[in-house]
Amino acid sequence: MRRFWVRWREMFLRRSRNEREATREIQAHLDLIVEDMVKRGMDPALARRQAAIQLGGVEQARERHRGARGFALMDEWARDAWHAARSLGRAPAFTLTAIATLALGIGATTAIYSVVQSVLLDPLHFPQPRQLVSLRLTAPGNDMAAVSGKLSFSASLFVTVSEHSTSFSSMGIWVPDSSVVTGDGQPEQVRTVLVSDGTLQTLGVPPRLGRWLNASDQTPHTPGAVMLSYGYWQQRYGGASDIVGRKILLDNVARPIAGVMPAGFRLVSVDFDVLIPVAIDRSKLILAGFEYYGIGRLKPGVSLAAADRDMERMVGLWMDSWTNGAGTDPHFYLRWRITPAFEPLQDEVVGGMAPALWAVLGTIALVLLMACVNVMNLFLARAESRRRELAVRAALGSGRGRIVRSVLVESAWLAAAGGAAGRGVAYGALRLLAALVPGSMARLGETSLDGRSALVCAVLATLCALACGLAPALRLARTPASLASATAERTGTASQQQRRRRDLLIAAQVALALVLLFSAGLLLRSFAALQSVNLGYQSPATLQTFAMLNRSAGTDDTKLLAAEHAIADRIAAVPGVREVSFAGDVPMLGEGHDWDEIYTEHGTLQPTGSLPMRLYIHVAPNYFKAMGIPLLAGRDMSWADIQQNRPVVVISQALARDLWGGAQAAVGQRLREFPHQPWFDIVGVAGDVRFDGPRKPATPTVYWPPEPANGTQNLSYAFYTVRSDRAGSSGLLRDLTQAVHAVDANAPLAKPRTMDDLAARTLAVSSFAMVMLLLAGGMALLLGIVGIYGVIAYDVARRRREIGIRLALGSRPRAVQGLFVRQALRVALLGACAGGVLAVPLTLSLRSLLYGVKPLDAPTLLATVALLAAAVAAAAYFPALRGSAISPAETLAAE
Amino acid sequence: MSTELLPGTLDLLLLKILALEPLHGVGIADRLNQVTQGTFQIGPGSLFTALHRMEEKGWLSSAWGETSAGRRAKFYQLTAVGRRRLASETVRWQTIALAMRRTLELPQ
Repeated sequence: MRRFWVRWREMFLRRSRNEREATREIQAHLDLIVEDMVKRGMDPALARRQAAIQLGGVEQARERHRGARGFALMDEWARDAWHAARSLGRAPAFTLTAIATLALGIGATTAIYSVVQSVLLDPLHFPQPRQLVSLRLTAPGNDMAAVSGKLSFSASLFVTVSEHSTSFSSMGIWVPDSSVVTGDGQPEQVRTVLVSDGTLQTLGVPPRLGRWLNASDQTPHTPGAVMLSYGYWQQRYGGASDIVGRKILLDNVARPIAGVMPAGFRLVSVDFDVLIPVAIDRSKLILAGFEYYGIGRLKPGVSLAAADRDMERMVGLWMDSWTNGAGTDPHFYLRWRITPAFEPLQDEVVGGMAPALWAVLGTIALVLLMACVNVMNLFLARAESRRRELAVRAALGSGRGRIVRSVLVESAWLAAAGGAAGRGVAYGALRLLAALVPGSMARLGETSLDGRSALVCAVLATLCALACGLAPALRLARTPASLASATAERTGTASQQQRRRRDLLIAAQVALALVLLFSAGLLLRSFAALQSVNLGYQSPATLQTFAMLNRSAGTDDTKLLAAEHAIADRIAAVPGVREVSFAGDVPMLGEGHDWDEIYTEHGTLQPTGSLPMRLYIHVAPNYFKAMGIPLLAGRDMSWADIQQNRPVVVISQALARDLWGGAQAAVGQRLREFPHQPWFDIVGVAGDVRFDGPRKPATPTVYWPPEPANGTQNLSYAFYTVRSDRAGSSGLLRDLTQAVHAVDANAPLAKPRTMDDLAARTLAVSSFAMVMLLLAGGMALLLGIVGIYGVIAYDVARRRREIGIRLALGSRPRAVQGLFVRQALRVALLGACAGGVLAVPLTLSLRSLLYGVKPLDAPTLLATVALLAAAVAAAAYFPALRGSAISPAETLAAE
Repeated sequence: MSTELLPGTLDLLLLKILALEPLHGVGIADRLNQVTQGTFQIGPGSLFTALHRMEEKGWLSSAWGETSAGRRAKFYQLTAVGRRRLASETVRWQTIALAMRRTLELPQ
């Protein structure tokens, strides 16, 4: 750096020294001439003037010296930059179009890159994230795990692995939950995560205050300490510095606060308010209880495959170490074929979003490419019209390098301005994205333009400058720049080469637009197909809310159920509420469901010897009406059934078909959950519901009578389903809260959401990709139309003479218009073919997002091609129309 | 008849003139005028531009000195590089000139 400065100073000093020297030399030269003239008898004053005229002015001469001196290069660049800026300023239409085009392309690419960076490239803010693995297990022999694709950890399995595995430096299990905070202030529901010893140690983020939860907190009989999130600490305790050691009343249990985690910390990818220790009572641990996620930190040098092999050994050890109680076979789980499928934690967090995001990034890059092609095209057109100017400059001694440089400098200006504006576009695009896809994409809200994305923006701008400027610059430098040829070419018919170039540009733009629009079209069709899938319930104007009741000491199940019933009755009385019921689970909630085996009177065992796992929900009477699920046979259960303890049950159509062949046949049959339970009579069969969104098939379901045992030892919760025209309004929510509080003032009302919101969430990734591709495709189409219009308009202008001749020879204007439109269409067809080939890999990569439409769907492709053909024809027609309005006499006379 | 210089010829002319003896600007212009018998006349602007450029390239060196009339002026002289340049440029020019002459002497 210092050396650099010294050199600069030297150069400046030398420059001024050189100039002084030159001035002195010229002065001496003048003196010599004057002396000579005076010697020959001329008047001294006249001689001085003559000499000055001969010299062409001392100043001018000095100017010329400057060009010859060592500093010339820097000077020339500066002059080129100034000259380029002025010349751009003289062509505002060209300049603005180019800058806007580049800004759109660069901005969109930067924005998507930022999203990709925060979501895909570094989604984990944990130390040494590559060591972190998600301890995923699969169990192909277990129906429930086969459906969900994974088997969770049980506490006993965790104990075995953490004590005997050699793969991990630390490991832990965790599961999101929720609790109610009471005591001082409003009762409120908080998001909690149950964590075992080792979980926070594995993630390795130090607490902001206090200490991590550890083994001392998970002793069975004393309530362990909890940790708060930074946000909850701020919100409920105002960031009190003496928070450690204070007590918090969670689900009616007082627990000490051990510490606060720093701002921005999430448990893997889950936001929480409170971390609660998993209580592990070794004397009561059984094999079952698969409800936890496992994470581990690999020891240095241990591979995923080695950890997998180690885990297989652990599964055997686990079955040898624990039991499910007397009379059960611990090796029953062999049938499940529990297999470790550990994966990097990052992959698990990113999950299904990766293909969508990469596809979007790829398409946006294509749009940027297209923007560059357009600007290059503008440059070429401009260069053509500047041929004369450049030829004059060349004739006056401008070297080729100089001309190339001047074009490159212009493109550098445009790219710099485009890049700067692009950053603004990127900022706006991120805000727009966050608004369009609310809360559905993990971490989208945190995406910001940081240093790296600024770098990407700058690199993109540089590449654009080169891409846009180099081709026209080289083209200008290559062709012999003589005045005569420039003049001749300007008026002649388009050369073969120029025609090919123009055709190539149109074809490239059509190809890119086709790829993007075709992909967007496929997603649009998928989205429409997904939306038209019958979810099995009638969503309009249904509201789900979530109410919790304190299960205070001594309150038995009957009383709790009565309280829940009372709340339902109160809600029914709220104005505008048409139907109300409650249940233990909700479709589309996506938080895991309850599964169990079902025994039937004449049921046959599966070949594996076990019964299939069935999804079950406890629902209150009127649930089907409130949800809008049709009853296909029989009747709903009634409050009378419940109050008289009649064992009744409703099943779904799919289950009825599985077990008895049909809805009618199922009514009157009996089933039970446990071998020694009394039988339950099937009183009705309800329509199928797609519990996990439109992509997953309807699951066979058992609807048991309501059971207030949902929740923890201290709390009971119920999802209230309210059908009302006021669904989604804050007024209704207020009325509902009042209704709940009228029964239990300590019951918080949580998670009110309409069914439409819930369903939209299951489509979030698809809709995000679709919105992005539609935007990209729309942009591509617009750029393509502008580009094609420009090319044809320019071509028409160039060929005025030819058109004039054609018209003079009797061609009809229509024929001339057709000439241009046909030419554009012929080339567009070529582009469409190329685009069709390009589209194959992209749409195949989108396969996981498609629904009800094949990756190479012919109707979508045809529709896209038709749309493009119309756009190309229109883009070519209007300039052709203007061109054919030329009066032949006028054109020919103008030459 | 005064003629425009062909591009590239000025350098060669200056190198040749300075190969005989070191000269200052006016001396060079006078010598050029005299040797070519007025065919080539060069303005001071072009002359100094060329001299400074050639000095920059290391073909010439310059030093302040006194004219025969006792006035201060800057004298230019050939460097070793300039001498080599002169040789190669001379060969090149003679090749061109020969080719031109042969072409022009073709019978009509």
